[in-house]
Amino acid sequence: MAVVNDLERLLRDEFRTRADAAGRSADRQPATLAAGLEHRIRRARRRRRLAITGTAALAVAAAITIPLAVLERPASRGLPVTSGRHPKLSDPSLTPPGWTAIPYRGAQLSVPNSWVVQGPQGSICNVTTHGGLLLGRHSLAALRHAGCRLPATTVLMAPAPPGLPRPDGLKINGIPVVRVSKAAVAMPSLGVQVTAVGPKALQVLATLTRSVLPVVLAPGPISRVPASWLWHNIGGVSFAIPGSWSVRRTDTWGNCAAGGPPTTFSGVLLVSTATTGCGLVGSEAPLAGAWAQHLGVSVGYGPLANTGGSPLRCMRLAGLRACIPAYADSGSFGNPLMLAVYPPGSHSQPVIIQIGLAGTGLVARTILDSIRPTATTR
Amino acid sequence: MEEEFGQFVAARGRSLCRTAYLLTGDWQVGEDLVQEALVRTYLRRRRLHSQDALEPYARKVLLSLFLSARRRRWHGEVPHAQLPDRAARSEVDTVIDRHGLWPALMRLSSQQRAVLVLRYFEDMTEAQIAAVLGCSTGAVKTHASRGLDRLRTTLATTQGWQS
Repeated sequence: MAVVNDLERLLRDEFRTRADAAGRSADRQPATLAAGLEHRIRRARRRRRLAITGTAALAVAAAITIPLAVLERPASRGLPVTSGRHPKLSDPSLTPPGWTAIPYRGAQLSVPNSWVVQGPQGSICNVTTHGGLLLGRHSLAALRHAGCRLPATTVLMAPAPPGLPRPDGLKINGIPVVRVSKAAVAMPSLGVQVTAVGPKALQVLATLTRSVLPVVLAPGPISRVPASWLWHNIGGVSFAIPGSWSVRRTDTWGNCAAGGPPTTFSGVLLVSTATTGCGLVGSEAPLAGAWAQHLGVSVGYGPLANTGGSPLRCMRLAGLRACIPAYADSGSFGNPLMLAVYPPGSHSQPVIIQIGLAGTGLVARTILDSIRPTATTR
Repeated sequence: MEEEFGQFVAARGRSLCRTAYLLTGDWQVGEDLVQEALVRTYLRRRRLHSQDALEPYARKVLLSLFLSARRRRWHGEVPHAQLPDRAARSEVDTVIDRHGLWPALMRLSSQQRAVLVLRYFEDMTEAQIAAVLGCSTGAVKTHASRGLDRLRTTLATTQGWQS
């Protein structure tokens, strides 16, 4: 027994002294591990991207609900194409199952469905959830100073401050970032700063991507409508949607169950000829899962379809006047893109078209680009 | 590479390299295994529940890579009837190999060496070792016992130890 114990002691001694000596020799070249690692990670990511491209149908079907037929056909037979350079897209595959993507300005983070999500006027103090996301606020210190007990993981998204230095190579999912403080990074190209503390902070930060709305509204070439898409005419306005989508009709306008604005449903064109309304009162749904967006279209054409009195900013779509709420760019998380499109004629009532802001943004952008007066439909 | 992961590598990478060196007997080979383990950990980091889970996962991958690499035929150990003359491959070997223990360790099977490194260098319990290696605690005890027996026999032959 004593011999064995001696052997164990010798083993410990041998291991420790040998590892120390080898480590001291290796310390003369301390950067080898990290430098080699960077190269290998880049290589692994390239291999993974090639693998994802090769199995794109499966990945897309798992991540988002856009019909495969739209995205998987070659460009000549069904994919939306743009002549020229289209904007950089959002990446829905970064949202893990059971999480919801929450946009804020040009950025989008995903958080677990069970987290509380609040806008600038809301609060995540003293909540019972494991995490919370607060939009429009910069400072954790200010919240704590005000006596706020924050959840275990707290994430803030706010406008990026002015005067940021140029990014020096640090990126998250291909987006250049600037370290602002120990817990905060800014994405100057997206106009957003993120502060994240807690056990899930890194996981949340790793879901960073571009939000869908800027992809849809970005200036640039008009997307060409694929041949497989179908055209619909409502109230003097025409637009196209993927051919595999279903069409449903309703005579109400608004999410009557929740007392909120109309929602969109994945792969569905919902047409409302509203004669009754539910009002456009925002619903109390602070948990992230309730804000999930679905890629579909809801159209309102009737006396009660309206923009709710929101200030609007307007643009031209194929000669039509189309207006969106003025607050759209600053981020109205949980809401689809709402357009009031005015057909030709001075007394025409607007057609309200809502496009769900989900997926990469390419399909939503193509739907927007397809809007035109009925007479000029292809 | 994200800065937080880089900080983890800076803080714990060297420790993983030391373990890998003791497993493989070669710092460069060990560092290569550690890099591969860290790449796999990085690619899986989002699924790990916390920053604290990175190191245990990286260590588990490291051991798995070590054990699977050693199973290839061209890594097979060549048995010797007696210990070969020790060549002074590096100043490290010359300085510390007082008992002939290191060559004896390198002649153990990969599982036996892995168990002994985790037990006597990492100070893990049998249950922890079983979790890292993905085997039963009974298997851990067997590998440890056989490894120590082989070392004792080898050392007794060369150093005149009493069994």
